[in-house]
Amino acid sequence: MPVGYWCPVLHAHLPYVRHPEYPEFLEEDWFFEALTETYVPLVDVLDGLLGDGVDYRLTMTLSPPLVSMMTDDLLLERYQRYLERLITLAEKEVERTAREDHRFQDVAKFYVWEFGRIRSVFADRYSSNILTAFRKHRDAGKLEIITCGATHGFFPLMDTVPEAIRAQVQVAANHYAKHFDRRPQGIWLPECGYLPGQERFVSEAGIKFGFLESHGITDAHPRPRYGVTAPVLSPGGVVFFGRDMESSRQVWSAESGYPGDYDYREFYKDIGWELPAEYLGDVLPDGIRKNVGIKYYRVTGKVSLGDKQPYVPEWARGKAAQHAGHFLEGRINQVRAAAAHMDQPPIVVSPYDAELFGHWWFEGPMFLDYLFRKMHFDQEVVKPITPPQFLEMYPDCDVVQPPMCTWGAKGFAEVWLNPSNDWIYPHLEMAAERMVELARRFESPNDLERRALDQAARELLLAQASDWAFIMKTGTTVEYAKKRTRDHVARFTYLYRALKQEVMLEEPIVKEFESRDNIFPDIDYRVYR
Amino acid sequence: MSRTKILSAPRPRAVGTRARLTPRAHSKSSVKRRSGDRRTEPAEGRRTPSRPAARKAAEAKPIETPPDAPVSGSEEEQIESAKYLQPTTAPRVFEEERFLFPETYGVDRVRLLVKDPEWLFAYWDVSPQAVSSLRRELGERGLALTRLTLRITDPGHGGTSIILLPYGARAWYVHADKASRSYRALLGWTLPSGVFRTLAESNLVSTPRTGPSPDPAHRRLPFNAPLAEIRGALGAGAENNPGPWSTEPFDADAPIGSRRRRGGASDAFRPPSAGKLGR
Repeated sequence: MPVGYWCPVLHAHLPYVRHPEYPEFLEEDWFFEALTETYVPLVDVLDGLLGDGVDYRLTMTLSPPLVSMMTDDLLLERYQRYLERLITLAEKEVERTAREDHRFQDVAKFYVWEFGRIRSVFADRYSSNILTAFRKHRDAGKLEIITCGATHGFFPLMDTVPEAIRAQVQVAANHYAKHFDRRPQGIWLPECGYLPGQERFVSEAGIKFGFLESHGITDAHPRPRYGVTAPVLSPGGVVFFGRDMESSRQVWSAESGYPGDYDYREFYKDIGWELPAEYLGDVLPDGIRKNVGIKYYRVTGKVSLGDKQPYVPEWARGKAAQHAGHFLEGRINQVRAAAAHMDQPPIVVSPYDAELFGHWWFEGPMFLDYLFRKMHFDQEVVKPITPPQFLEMYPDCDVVQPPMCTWGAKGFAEVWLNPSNDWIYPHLEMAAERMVELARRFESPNDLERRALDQAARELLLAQASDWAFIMKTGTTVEYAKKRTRDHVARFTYLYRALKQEVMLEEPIVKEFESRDNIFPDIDYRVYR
Repeated sequence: MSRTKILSAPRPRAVGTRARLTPRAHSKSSVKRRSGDRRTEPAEGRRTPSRPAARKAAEAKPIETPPDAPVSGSEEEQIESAKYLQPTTAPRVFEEERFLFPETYGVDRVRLLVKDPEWLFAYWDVSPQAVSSLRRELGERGLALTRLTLRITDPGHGGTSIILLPYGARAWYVHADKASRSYRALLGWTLPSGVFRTLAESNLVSTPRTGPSPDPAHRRLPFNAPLAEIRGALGAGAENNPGPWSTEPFDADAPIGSRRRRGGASDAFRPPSAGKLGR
């Protein structure tokens, strides 16, 4: 029996970005990049572990927007085009580097192999249905798939319209049941955002557990006996596991985190910015510069981009193995220290954004591969586990009231509520109130009204995605985030006014909205009652 | 399809898809790169150089290629170019870009949100009818001397913060007490007589406690215990009583140097001209 457990959690989420009205759309690349660099490489790692008999355990959010994009025919078709272009470019790079710069020959060949591997896993092994892979690992008892808010709405700032929070949870749970053939047991509260009392909506959906930022556990009242190394039971009947800061810091920290190691691949130096646009061709539709995913340099050190040195995959692989060993050693020490003061084995919960592994930290999936193998073969002190498996063995929890908390900067709502984005909340709240009004008013709508009501619910949900406020704060693609907020509120407002007969309810308009914002095809507006 | 062919076609492919014409900054192109978030501060040595500003995505126009628009060039060129034409897109039936967020929803309301343990965010709406009614009652001069006011109270323990709002403000960051407590906002007029007349009352919010509780947990229960039992186990769990909230009035229109911070401090967050919502 191990001394303690390690519970890795990967939160996989992207906002729903799908623009059928355009033949290509830059922000759709978010999903394509994440598939290529994170989701498919992770699946390949899990397949390898399963095939080699490694007893890994992983908890993973697959947010409803992400699941919807993973099963959307249009986006999958576009992803195929994206990948083919990338492979063609990688092949051209092998020729170019042979001609112009032999230093990068091996890395260029590596990319041909790497993208070919991604295509093989995605298209051949899983027939472009990556959810099949996740279900396979779930059925093997290794992977716990959890849900999220329907569109990643930030619950603490939705508190003035409780029905809107309930809808976020119910729609997500129903969506999960449709795609995974069972009800979800766990939830990743969007942005790890919690406000006392909101767990009742989670509990209503039959969900048993979630996660909180560390201070959501350590500052709970009364004070939990074991801090974040044991789950707590909230008044609403939902169990919360607390984020362990030490293991988080080892991966996230700018100063001491693994991804900043000098041998790892440099994220920012990408040929999409450096080679002639004419040469890059279709990978840059219309010649617009962007990261294309082919990068030849390593972090090197605290030097300018111009002074970066060539990437050596073998060195990076060696570092990933070394860091996996270091991480494991840290967990062993951690559980030993905690277990000395506990009457049950401690659990160390390490949540990360899934996209950190592979997209931002290219060697991240490799690190996980090594880590699970070392944990399985090299020691018996700490073993990986999922929350339901832990609760099955150790069902008793301290009953406490966690305080408001999030995993954003400073631990509260500042990231999503500040002068860059606070203007959205009066409009989102009004739209939510209006949706509740519509849901209560229409008992027996006709067919068109019914479609309009369901579409209004979709538009509201899409407007509520926390991603838009987050982007406005971080200043990345702000105009797109504002556009999405405006577009969804505009469509919602039209539907509301049309349903109230202030303007004509026109079928072609409803149809257009349905075709653009086609998430949750089975939604029932009555979820807002 | 090759890029060269597209560009050489007599009638270039309509390209309205792009979110940008200029490069996106390196640091801004990643999937969910959360710079500024404590989880994702870029590692040293990973700072990115600045790039030209991006064109607004919101301004990107969808493809609108009239299916029967005349095409220049020879017949051969026209046939060749047809390979690169986009499928005809349906005419747009709704133009989201014409939508403007309303200045008012025509209701009297005020709401509070908790930003963090020390700051609340208040936003409100005042109906034109409420203003008209006051104008009828007091006349233009009386209206001009009336101040829209927020009164933030702790209904549990007492204490009120009075914030005389600047003209046109639609939201305000309210400085809360350091101790965890509950708050409710009253939005109303402070009349020339000094009387406060309530327009709307907000939701009740509580700021989070910070730091470990002095009281250790005393009950453990199985995670699947009945809800009533769980709630009973938590008990009253009386926290320390923070006592009445001690505040001072705040006049947003007072000269900057004379403003008293306590009780309202949006000037710490936004420039004086940025009081309006719906930018």
